[in-house]
Amino acid sequence: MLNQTPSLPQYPDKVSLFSTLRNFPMFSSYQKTEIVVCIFLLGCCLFAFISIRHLPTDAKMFPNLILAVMSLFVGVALIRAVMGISQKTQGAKAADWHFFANPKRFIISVIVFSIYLLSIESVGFFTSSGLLIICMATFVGYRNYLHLTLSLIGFLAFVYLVFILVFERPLPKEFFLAATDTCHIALVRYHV
Amino acid sequence: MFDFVEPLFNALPLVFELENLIGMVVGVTAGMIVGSLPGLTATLAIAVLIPLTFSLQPLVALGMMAGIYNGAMYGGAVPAILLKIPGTPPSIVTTFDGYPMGQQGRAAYALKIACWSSAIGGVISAISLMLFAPPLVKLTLLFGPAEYFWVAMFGLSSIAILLGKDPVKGIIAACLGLLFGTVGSDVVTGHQRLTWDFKYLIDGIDLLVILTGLYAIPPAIQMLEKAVLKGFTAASLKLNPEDSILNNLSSFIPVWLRGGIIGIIVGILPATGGSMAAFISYNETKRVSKEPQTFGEGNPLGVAAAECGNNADNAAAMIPALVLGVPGSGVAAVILAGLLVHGLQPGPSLFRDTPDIVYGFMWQMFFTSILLIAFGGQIAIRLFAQVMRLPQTLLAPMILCLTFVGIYSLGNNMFEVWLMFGFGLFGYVLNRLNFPLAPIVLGLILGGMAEHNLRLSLLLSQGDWGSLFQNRLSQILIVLTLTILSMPLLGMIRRKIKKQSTSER
Repeated sequence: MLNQTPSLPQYPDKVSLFSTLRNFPMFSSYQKTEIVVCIFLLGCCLFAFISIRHLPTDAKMFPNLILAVMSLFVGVALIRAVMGISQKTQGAKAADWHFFANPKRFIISVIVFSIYLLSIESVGFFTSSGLLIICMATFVGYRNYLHLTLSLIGFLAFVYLVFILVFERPLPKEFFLAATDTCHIALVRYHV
Repeated sequence: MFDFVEPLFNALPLVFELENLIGMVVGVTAGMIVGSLPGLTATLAIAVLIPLTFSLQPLVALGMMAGIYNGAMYGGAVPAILLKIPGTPPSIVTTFDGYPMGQQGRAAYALKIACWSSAIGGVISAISLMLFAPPLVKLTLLFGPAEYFWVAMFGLSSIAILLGKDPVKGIIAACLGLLFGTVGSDVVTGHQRLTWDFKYLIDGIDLLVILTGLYAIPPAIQMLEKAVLKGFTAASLKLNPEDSILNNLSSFIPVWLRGGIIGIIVGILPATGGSMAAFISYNETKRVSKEPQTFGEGNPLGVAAAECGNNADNAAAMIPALVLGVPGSGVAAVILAGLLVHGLQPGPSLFRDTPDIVYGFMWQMFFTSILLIAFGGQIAIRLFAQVMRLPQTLLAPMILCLTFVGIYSLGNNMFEVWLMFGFGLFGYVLNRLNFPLAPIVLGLILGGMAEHNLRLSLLLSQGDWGSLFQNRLSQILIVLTLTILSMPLLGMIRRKIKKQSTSER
């Protein structure tokens, strides 16, 4: 992925606004990401300003103060990003920089973890955690299934021992245990 | 002057209670394991641990945190010596001489030096915490609301400016932390700020949600992206029995003393951290050595200097954190968050109302350093070497599961878990763009204190903003804050002058 880096702009020693504008279409991916994030943060500041404008002066004084300082510095960061100064401070690292080390794996990881969070309350902590570990490890290319199984059993046993038995943390109940409970309640009701 | 001695020794029996001892042992072991795994840091371990310690007594929880802190700082030396991969950022300096020693077949000796040096550095640092924190806290009794506001500003600006490479990004991160801290009901007027009618936000965003999201999710995702499928092989982690430290004790003692003092000074300074302590300690040892050319080639004193300096920073970084609520390093900021989670507010009230806990914590920093010698020996090193064989592709999903356990168990609601995930993704973006994360956490911690004292000061002076600048102590703090804020500008000017003079030549 890193080898697909497009040729990067060469910054002159003296960075001027004129030279920056001349190089406009040649922003590096580091600069582009910084610009996008700065604009996003400026948008957030504006949104927050609007959200608290109806509050009494006393309540909105401190947030307004923070937002003013933050907007100012995000503005400075934006100018630095456009001029390439911020990239310069990162030195050689920014030259072959890409936002994702591996976009495919990033997206898969985020999707799998999102599915895990969506399903965990109905499926149960241990079942979904087991599935998450198997799926994530398999998706990113891990194929030693014996090692995977042993690690998984060890991890789940550790979590059960420490967090359920020792710390008594309430975790989402397993779906099969919940189903057993539902059957039990239904049977009791039917019997009554 | 020495009236802290009595409460200090009163806390000692509590530290020896069975559950506190177990907490410390578990913390040290967990810290060493986490530290020995490249990519996992003490900050991550503590961030994952804090939510899980809710049901524990504060002292047990703090003992675990102290153990993790000291353990992880030493644990980082294991891969640094065996594989030239620093387990934690400060152990980069340990690779300079540790790895060459390993290549010469002296890995076991290098690990033994690292273990002893870390323990001694930690002990010296814990003693400094016991000696300096109690007298310094008395000074804070002179502080009024305006001074506290400026203390918060000084702490924030120093962490924001000095921690990362880019001060502008540091300040933005600090502002983000302050802004997150304002979410929820305003304590004075009762108005909801930035809640957008979400009932879960009325009480504000839980510190742990942000902490876990920012510190645990991004490294886990990055591990999955890199997809390192294999752990380290058993052959690369092989150790041979070697020399004894006791035979060369006379050469190590001055190195430990020097490293200890450097670590304490660096630790007390805000936002400097173990890496700088290790570097300075190493450089000073090399500078005064009669054989400076042997450094970098496998000199045992190089390992001792780096590890002692690194660990001597640990407890010292807690001095400003406990006294003023301004931590000396990123890890200290997370421990500070742990204190707040257990309802302990830094400052004079902490020493006055809960002396057993604060002095107990000092002892725990001391004893967990000693525990390094007991648990960081040969058997443990072999055990960590086995843990290092676990590939990151398996570790990452396990970390994600643990973040869920930690946040879900706070209040059994999924909103906070999703919020944590959201902050994790946000942290990933910030991380990629080299925004420092510690100022966000510190902004969140100090935000409430800053706002409360600012409003109190204005209330007392009937809205006169000049009251913030009138007091002599406030003026000193303002000068310090402005000095910190102007440092990047001064640096820039200095660089320009230097460049100009070079071109003129």
